[in-house]
Amino acid sequence: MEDREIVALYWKRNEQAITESENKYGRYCYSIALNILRNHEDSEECVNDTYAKAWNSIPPKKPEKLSVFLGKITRNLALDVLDKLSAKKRGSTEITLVLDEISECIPSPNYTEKEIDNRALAENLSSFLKTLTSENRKIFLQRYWYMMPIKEIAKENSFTESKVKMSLMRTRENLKIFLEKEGVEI
Amino acid sequence: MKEKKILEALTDIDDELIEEAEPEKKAKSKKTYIKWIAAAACIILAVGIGITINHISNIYDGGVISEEETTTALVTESNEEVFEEGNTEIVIEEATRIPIDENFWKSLDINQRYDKLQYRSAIYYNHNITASEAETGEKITTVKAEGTDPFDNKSHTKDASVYKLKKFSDKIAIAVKFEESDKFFVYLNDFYEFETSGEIIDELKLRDNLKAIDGYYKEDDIALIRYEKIDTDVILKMLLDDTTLTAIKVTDRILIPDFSVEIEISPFSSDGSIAVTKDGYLIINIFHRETVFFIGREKSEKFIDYVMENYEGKKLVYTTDSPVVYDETAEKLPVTEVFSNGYKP
Repeated sequence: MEDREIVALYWKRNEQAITESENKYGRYCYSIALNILRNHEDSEECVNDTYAKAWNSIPPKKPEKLSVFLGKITRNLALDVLDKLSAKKRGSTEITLVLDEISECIPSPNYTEKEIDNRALAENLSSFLKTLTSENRKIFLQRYWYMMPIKEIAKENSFTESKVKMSLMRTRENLKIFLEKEGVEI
Repeated sequence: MKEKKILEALTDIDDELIEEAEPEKKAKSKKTYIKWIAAAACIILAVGIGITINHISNIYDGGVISEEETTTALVTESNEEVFEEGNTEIVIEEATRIPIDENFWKSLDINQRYDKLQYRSAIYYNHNITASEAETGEKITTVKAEGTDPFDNKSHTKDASVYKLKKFSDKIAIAVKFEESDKFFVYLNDFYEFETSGEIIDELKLRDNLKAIDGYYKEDDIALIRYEKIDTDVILKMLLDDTTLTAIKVTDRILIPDFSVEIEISPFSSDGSIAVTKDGYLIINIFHRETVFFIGREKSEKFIDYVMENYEGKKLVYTTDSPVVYDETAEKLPVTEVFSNGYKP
């Protein structure tokens, strides 16, 4: 079923919308959650909560790309769950690695600037990502949006792992420089 | 936690960026593309520039080798990359395996060990190229070059002298010398942002050093048509004649080229291409940076039409038997007959 047809079901308050979403994007959402949480039960719960959130937000929303819309919800939910898991000292080693890597992107403090809000930071990140080649951008987002392990990114794209690591390292360095130039305070 | 803030903000980046990076999409069928054919994007090529160089063709990129991957590094004696297709490595040239152990670090050349440094608020990277003394200018400063030993992930630093290169601005490229070596290694600012078309042409001396290779026309999601040995003059005259263009940021969409041309600018070995979209965008991929100009629909279409009329096209077809097969009849195949790695639409 096409996305617009599924969205139409949401608008008509027809619960078939959830079934269709699950059929088409259940696996996609599950893999996003699993990459973050590395736990089957928590991931399943995230995906179920995703449909609930989608049901409550469509309408009024009318997403054009349902995969991305649902994926964003799942990702946010999984990151929230991660917070709770971290508090209980549970969670995936992979996320620890990801957070460690991302710490390299944090710009040096600029005490004259106010801390940036998430929306503005997202816009900055979008701008930065669009300056990259599609290859480097894909690798970066597969690591830090989709939270894929490096081995999987390499396999997915038929690259060597060292190529993936090098691309990530260089992109992180340049993101830091970019954010500093933009005067971003995190 | 600041790291978490970045991860959370990433959720809200533009949808098309997320979609482009989505794993296990249809584009996955293009895994068997050889390196320089990107899925639904422009072709990336080796770029070299006209310093006469002792070209070190070792493809080891000086980066960190994952412990998970293998305990060896693959070093070839050619410029070709090693492509991995599933569990099969397609080795273009004869390769020697070197084990990643406590001796690996010492086995690297000094520029491969200390493969990056900071200069002028930018990071410059080793590209395994040397410059002659005649090509090297005055010394500028001394900096700390850095590198990581893939065996134990330990970081190392070393003093490095930075010199100008006579032919190129130090905004783009510098020569680096270490105490232990009498060679001048060329390090590049891979992420340098060009501001005008004139700057790219002048800084990289494109009129003298650009070499166009093959062009690729994206017919649809499956097929590419290759046009061989495009004349460099065609690129220079039809796409790079205007030096006054200002680089732009396209924020409302991701630009997918309709036609792209492999380029070489010796001796810098980096991914690069010049591409156009039918609606008028010129995309120059050099090093790790994409620079975009607007040249107008008419100019783009004129270039694409010219190449298609004056060069022979060969369709690239993908099968499970081999990465690439040329279909010289260039008849459009029914979609069900085109597949790769078991993908069938």
